[in-house]
Amino acid sequence: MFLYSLTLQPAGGIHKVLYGSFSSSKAQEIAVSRGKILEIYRCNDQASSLEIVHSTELFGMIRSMCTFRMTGANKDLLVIGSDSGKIVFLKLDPNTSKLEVVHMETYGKSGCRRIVPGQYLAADPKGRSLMVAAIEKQKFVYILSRDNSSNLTISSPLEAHKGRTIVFDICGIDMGFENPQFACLEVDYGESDNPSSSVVTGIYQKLLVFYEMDLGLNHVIRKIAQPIDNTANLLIPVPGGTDGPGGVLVICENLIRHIKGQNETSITYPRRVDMAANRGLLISCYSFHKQKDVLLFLLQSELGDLYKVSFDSGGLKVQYFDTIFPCVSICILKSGYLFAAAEFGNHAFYRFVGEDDDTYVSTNSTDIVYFAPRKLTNLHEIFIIESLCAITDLKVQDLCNEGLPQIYALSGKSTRSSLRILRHGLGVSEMAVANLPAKPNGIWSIKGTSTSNIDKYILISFSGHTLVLSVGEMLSEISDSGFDNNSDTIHAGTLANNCFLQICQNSIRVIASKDKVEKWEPPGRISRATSNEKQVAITLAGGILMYFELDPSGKLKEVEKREMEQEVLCIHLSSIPQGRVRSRFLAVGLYDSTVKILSLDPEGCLTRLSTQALPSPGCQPKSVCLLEMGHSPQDLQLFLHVGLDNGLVLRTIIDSITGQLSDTRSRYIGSKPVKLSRALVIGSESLIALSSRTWVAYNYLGKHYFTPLSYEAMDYATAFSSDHCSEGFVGVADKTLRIFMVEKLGEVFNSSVVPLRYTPRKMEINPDKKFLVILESEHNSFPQEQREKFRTVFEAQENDEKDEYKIGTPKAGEGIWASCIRIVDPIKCETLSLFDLTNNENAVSLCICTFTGYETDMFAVVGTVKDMNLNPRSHSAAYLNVFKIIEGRLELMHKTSVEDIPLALCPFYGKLLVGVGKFLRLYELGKKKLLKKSENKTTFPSLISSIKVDDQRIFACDIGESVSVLRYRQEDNQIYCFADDVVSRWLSNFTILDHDTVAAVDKFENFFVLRLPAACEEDEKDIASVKYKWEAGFLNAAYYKMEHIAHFYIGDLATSLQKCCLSEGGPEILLYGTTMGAIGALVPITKKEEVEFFIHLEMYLRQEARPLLGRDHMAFRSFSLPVKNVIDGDLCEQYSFLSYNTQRTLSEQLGHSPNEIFKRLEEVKNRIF
Amino acid sequence: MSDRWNAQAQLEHLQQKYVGAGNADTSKWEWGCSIKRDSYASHIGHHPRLLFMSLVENESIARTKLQFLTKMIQPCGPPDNN
Repeated sequence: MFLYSLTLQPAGGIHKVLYGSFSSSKAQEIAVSRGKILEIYRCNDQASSLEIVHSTELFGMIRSMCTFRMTGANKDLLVIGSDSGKIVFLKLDPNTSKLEVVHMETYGKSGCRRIVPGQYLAADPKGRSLMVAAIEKQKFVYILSRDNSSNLTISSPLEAHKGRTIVFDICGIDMGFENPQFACLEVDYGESDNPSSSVVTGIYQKLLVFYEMDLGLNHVIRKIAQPIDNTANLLIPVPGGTDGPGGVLVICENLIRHIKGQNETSITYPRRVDMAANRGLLISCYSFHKQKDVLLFLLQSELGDLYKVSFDSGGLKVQYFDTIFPCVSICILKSGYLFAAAEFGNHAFYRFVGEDDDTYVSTNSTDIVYFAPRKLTNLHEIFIIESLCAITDLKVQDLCNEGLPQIYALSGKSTRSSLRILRHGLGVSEMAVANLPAKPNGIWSIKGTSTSNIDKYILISFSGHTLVLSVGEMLSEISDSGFDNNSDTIHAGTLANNCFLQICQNSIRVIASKDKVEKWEPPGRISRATSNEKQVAITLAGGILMYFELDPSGKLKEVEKREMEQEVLCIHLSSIPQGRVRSRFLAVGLYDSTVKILSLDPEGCLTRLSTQALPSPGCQPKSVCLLEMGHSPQDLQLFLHVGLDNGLVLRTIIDSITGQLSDTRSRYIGSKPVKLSRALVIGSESLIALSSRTWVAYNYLGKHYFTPLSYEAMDYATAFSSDHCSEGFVGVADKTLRIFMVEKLGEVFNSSVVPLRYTPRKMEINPDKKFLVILESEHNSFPQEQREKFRTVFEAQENDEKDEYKIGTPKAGEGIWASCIRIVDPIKCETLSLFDLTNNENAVSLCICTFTGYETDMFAVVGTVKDMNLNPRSHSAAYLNVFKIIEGRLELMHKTSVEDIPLALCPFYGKLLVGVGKFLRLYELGKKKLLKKSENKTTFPSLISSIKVDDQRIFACDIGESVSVLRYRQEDNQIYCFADDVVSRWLSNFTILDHDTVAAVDKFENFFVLRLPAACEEDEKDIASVKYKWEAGFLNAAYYKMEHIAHFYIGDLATSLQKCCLSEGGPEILLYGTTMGAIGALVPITKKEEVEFFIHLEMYLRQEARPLLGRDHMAFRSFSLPVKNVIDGDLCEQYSFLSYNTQRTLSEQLGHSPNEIFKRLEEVKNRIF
Repeated sequence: MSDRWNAQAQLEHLQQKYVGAGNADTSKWEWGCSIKRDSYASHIGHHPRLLFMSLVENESIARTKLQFLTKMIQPCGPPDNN
């Protein structure tokens, strides 16, 4: 078995953001770490927008980032500490917008280890040295300087190790041009044989330690170590010299301390009124802003409150600023924006607004100022960046009857939880919809002048007449435009002399103005026509092709005429390439199932250059489209697109000199004949293909996309641009006119959102009624009824609108739970019913099933636990609740008490399998209770977390001991365990692939496939004779061991795994969702030749496309166990980012042309969608 | 004799260099402390896992991280008396 792993939706969650000027001194850029992806965004000041500049897959984990500016330099370098055991200096090339390694220095082993530095990074603000520290013991200091040619040079590392010391944070202190100093928060846990050390007593003292890098003596000394609050968690350097007071801000719970030499000031933070008095106020992230006369820090508490910390004449001042969602990292941009990277869920971009006021200011360490969170006053939200971060469950099914399945993902945490319904394709925003009198047979958008980008008219052709709409603030019908209104239009356009062209069945009209219309009548009926600014081609019924050109005087002149000898079905002229007089090619689709490319050169006009034969003989070309596409204006390539009447689109490269065709690729896009037309996406030509769905082909950020739109199927569509939408589309669907634009380019899925109340945990689909049952349960949180009480208290205090989504709810303390069961209608995106759990019960498991004796009813069984404590695991009671599902509503039938946590439920032929703690049990439904029927003899090691059934086999998984396979024997009513895994794995989810095989994901970011040995099958035929053998087991475990047939390190914690099929007639794939909000797929590869090709491609790419952070790709994918039988598609995709020369060399080594390699990469992707 | 002494010195050097490397006298508690510290360090280094933990406990990521760091000081409670 071979699998091809591919990330479909990259991680949305953010780990850290950093502000810097990476490409030029004035640039405002943000480096965003998404764990194993690094992105650079640039702020466009005028448009208040962020543009993505660069995004790269790292094949390694970012652990820390900092910016570093060499003394006297005007650009920042990005320094990254990762799991590669190397420190990497990156620069952003302003021309190519790509990150390049400036320097890479190895200091230790790879992996996220406790004593290998990389977890913390701190730079000297003057750019002379850098400290990189591990969580324990090791710290290295590097001196950075420049050599003669002003390249960065790095010294050998200077050690500042201290054994048995845990480091909480480090920062570089602004010392001017004195020796650089670094401050560290440390705890020395002492030796285990010393009875007074912290590791023995548990009593410790946190220290603030200053390390000085003596540049003269070239060594590091531990200069001062002073005791500091044990709650301190962050260090913030304060600019010194002329920029500020210098020193360091030590962030403790409830308190901020400014320490500079011997001076120390401390101030409490303003506190939320509803916050429990015994709970510390923890600051989770900060950002700082420095301008000529302004120096301010913005701190965010873990609840989401922002505090402004500033130094004024009186000293330190802390003020409540605003409340947004809790962030993992925030950064202030020079031009007055705030980028907030959420811990969970969507991120946002804000603008600073508002005036200075004096409310909620805290200036000393004794009085506490209280505030109630208010709606945004100092910030204004500009846009949000969607993120699925923390997907807890994912299901794929077509519940909306759309023909293709939707992906249902539970995402987010607490008040920011949601159910996202994802559909493959680009999201569309509709600008206008208008009804039309009849069903049109064509639509054209007409530019005002040949050079303008804005459309002046929209022409809609009906049978027998043509409607002309003038584009302005509104669309209005006009009749004096000079266009012929009384016949249907075959083609329309704008010519280079700014005349409009309208081609009807029996005339060609060139319209200079409404009174000045030149009309020419052809010798026959015109069937097809096409034009660009200077060229026009028409066909007459019977297969006569006529070609016209605009002569220098601005007159349309016939140049050539040719008999095609058969009916022409479609025709298209490409637009004139930059700097050329004419387009050289005309594509003609003919009745004999061929498409011919004809030359338009003055010598040999309309001679055939090449022919494209169509793949299946019966199909005919419905439309053709010649487009120049490419990743940049410099490397454009002419493509011939052919839309066939069987729903295929062919895409072929045309040699721009000879007109020869090569590298044909095909894609099935829908069941209807395909109509193609030209559109604009980010200023370059792109394709709209209309079939049973509408597709758009475009290039974006170095990648080629061909994706469907999540919008109604169109009959006709074309590009449209007006003042309001520069790159929109206008189309007709049945009897409506629609103007729309694509929302987010590069997006794979578009989503609709159903907000949820608590953190969602599990989801099941009710198969017959087609709705979703969702379990929501949240630790450390008040249930709804108590929240409402708080809310009324709040409202009494202040009249501001309270938005729980943003401000969150107070923490309730350990062991307090809020939980509910929700039923959602996926079509209307609304909640049908909600069942609140009371008495501090929380729902842990869910299954939808039927029971023997009650076949007509559908039941939902929910396992609940009362007073559950997470660590150590304890509870006061546990129940199995049986609900009858009646019309989207849950009706509690009865509650059965069980003695341990029922974390896993699974229907089993009219009965119910339940994992109660260590026991696997079989229950039947009774009138008052669930009736225990059977229990397995050999208990599980700790806790059964999940059960799945295939035929008679039961696959049950222990929370820390991987999957076991069991068998129920009716005759003696016993459950026997006969196989298990050799590796103890902490599974987060698993799915059954076939009778013998399971695929699983674990909490250490792995994916793997296990298979039962063939001997099991034989044994199961006669259980009576093998049951003693099974019971005896082998080496204190099950008799058979599952073989490990595939393994892959995803690098992201997958919480769900499902076997599904995302496309019509495509193969079944495995789909997973991760805590970072990524969705990935594993596609089976069945052909041996294909496997070999990808193995070789991977092998070469490991050499040529070296990961940016210096992590060895093979080592990364083998993080816990060696990678086996899985091809890393994300690595294969890197081929397209290589330079042309490397692509060529690699393709020669592989023995396949670059185009062939691209084609194969595309093919695998096309199998998914 | 010198060989044995040399081996001993090498072992000590290894234990000095690699924190957590045990010897014949390492107690279960010490070994446990070492394992737990390694695990916490790994959880902190892998952001996706940290997200998972903080999601389950409904705490902020910063607090989860701080808790893990603090637990590294005394990960297994006080040692047994014997």
